[in-house]
Amino acid sequence: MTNAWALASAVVLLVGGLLAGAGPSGLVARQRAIWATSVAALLATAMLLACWLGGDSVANALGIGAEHHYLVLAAAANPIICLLAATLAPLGTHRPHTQRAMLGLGAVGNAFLATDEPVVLAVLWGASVVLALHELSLLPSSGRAVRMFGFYQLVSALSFLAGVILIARGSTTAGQALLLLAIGIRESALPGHGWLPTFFERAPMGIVVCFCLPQLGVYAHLELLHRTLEPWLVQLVARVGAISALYGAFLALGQTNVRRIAAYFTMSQTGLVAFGLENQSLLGWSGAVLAWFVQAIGISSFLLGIAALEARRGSLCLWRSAGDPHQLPRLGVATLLAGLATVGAPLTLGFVAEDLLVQGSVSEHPALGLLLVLVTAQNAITVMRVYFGLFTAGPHRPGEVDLAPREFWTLSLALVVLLLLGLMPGPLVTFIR
Amino acid sequence: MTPMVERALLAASIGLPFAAALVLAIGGWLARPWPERFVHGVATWTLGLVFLSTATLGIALVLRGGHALDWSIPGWFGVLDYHFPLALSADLLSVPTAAFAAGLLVLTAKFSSGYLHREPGFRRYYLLLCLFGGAFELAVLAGSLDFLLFGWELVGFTSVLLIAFFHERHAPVSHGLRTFVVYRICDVGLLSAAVWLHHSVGAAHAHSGALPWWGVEVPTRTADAVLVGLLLIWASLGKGGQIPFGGWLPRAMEGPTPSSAIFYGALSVHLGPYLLLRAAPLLDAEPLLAGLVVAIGLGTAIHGTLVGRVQSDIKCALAYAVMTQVGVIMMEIGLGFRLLAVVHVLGHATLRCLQFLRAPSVLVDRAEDEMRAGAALHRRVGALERRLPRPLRLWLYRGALERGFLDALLRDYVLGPLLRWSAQLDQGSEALHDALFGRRVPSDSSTPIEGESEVLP
Repeated sequence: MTNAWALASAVVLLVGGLLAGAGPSGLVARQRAIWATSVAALLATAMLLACWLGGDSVANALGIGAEHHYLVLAAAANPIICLLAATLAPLGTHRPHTQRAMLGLGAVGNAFLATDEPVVLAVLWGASVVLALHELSLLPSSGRAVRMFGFYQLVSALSFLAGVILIARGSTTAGQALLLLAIGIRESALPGHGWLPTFFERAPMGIVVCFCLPQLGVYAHLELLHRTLEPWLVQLVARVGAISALYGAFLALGQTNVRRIAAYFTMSQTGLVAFGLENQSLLGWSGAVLAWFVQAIGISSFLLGIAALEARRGSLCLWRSAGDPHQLPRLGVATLLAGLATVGAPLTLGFVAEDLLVQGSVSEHPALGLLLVLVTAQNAITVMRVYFGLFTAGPHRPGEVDLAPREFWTLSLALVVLLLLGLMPGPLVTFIR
Repeated sequence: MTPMVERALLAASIGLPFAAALVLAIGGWLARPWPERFVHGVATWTLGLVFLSTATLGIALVLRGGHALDWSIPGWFGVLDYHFPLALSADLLSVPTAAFAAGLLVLTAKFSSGYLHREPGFRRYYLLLCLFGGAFELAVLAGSLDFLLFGWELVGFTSVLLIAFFHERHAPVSHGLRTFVVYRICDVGLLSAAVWLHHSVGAAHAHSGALPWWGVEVPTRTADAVLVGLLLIWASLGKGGQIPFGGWLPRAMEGPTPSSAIFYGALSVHLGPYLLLRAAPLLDAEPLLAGLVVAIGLGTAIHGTLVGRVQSDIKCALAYAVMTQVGVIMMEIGLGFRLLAVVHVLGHATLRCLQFLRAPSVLVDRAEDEMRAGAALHRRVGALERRLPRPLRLWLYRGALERGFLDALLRDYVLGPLLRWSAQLDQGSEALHDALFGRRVPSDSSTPIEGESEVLP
């Protein structure tokens, strides 16, 4: 049932994407994209709420197997990400073909979640790379970005395919190592993260969000590798995840270009999920899966809040992009809340995810587990720095207006999900475990 | 009074301010601002009800002979045998502190309605005040370290947003961010301590020891006990404004005067000592930790009193006076005078709150005093100051003007090098990719413009 539902969402997004791409103008394309993603997101939210309130009984009635309960979160997050991208991405940088690519990435993402067939996963993995690469190549002066993205993602896609083939032929360890390489590059883990800052700097934010935030690597890991890895690979995953998280958090603090800050911030947060995935305790694993969901919605809202500000103010930098706090109060607050939810602020679902992740990790990796606490502290500083740097202490800018209705309702949905589930996380945690 | 009623009062003490904050936030989010009268009324009445609830809890506590009411609410979230301890405790430490805090919050809410009348941030102020009220009550009434952390972090967020209250200007925002950096770095200690307690003891739950209130469980292994103790002391340094992190405290005075009074004169700054009072069993078990607390308190008291003497701004002078007294309270805790420390906290908080609220009028008062005296009033040089050798006096004076060089040390030898190293790592990575994939098109936003500075502490 989860598969059918994810596939249905994929079809809705695909049709919406095609219609948006055929739109005569960016405005029409956006309207079509919003319609399609709204349908998919409302279905996703309804499914999520039903499982949250009804628990196992609803899941059984819907035919969702116990081992796939976590998929409800992923399949719900993906359409919400697409809706956020469709409504908040600026028209100036998101022409009809960009809207099509965004929804295409969303459709590929949901189709990815609908299958556990390794070869199909490899094909879809490659398809998402092609979509993003094509969109990147249409941008002016993007040669270096295309070469970088193409190189890294080609290595990733080929490794994925080779890994799947090797595992099918019985070379399990080599195949798993290749799959981990593919996932590591996609999830921007050290040292395969080099493409990420440039991709964030050059690509339209809608593409960035739809490519990076569904974190397909997490699903691939859970379906193809979880609990089958050699012990040394388990250790490797945990260490690489933790070190990537620390490295990203540290580099985000030293940047002034907002897109590069966002890139390293994203790298750090995805590193936390990678760290918890191979946790032997259910506690840490549950934390990682919840963090996956929180980041999908939280980081998307945070990044698209920044993109919405870019649409109003142009290229952003902490040196000079401060603004009048009375002009964009709701956009500022939404961006801040989304960022804080991502880094585990109390009263949000992020707090629950962080607590489970750290509590579960510390028995297996005491030093690395405590390191995670430092990472989330650094990332919280980054969020606050971005908020203060962009939304306060600046001059009045004529013509700058706060949230449009479409932006308002979409951000409200995302924040309500993060806050409501954060206040009553019990049923959700019970459901996914 | 039945336990059911007492539990309802406990829940109301924490839940009501959050509910008020939610009501105020909805108005702001829907861009339909509530009238000032409504906002002020909601906040004041809510905090008044909290005061009544906590005062009633206090009476119930006395009637019970001082025996604590512990309430553990099951089922918030958990996995297998781990459950987040949603525990509340009404004991001889939490209830007086909670009632006292609620009383001060009501007075401040009442005072602020005139002080901030027609300010653009009037509604935001009351929203943050309610949020702070709920968070503080939660931190105080929490029955476990994990739940205390929940309120502790929220107190930090609201503090920072109130320091940056006048966010049209650069300085309040910069100081707010500085405070946030200190808070977050020190909060690492509290979360790590809670996690390590779960890891080593199995729970960070309440444990009744020799004190009439709950304290943290002492791990059986000395190394674990010392580690948890050090982490908790680290956590208390940030909120308590102790050396070497106290530099944020005078800068926090950028917020509105009522918020300075309630946060940095009365409540927020005393959370550091409050945490150490909860950690008292650890200090008793490990004399090394107690000694460290005494040393930090003594160092802070000396630092605060020296630097405070050269401040020309009344709120800064008060901030250093607060720092000094909190240092003394830390010494009392380290030396084992726990009840004295509680009395000291409550008395000091009352005095400072009043002094901060009176601070804007102090210039008028002084002018009146001078008019009555018929001459300018000068500060008298103290006996100790006169007896010090001149070179030492000058050295101390220079050190006090530079705030003990602590800020410069942190900036030049810790924060600055770290940020430079971070930027260099990124540049190195880009240089490598330049060599492989071609030169990067420079972004117009990556280099600073002369004369403009980033919002950084």
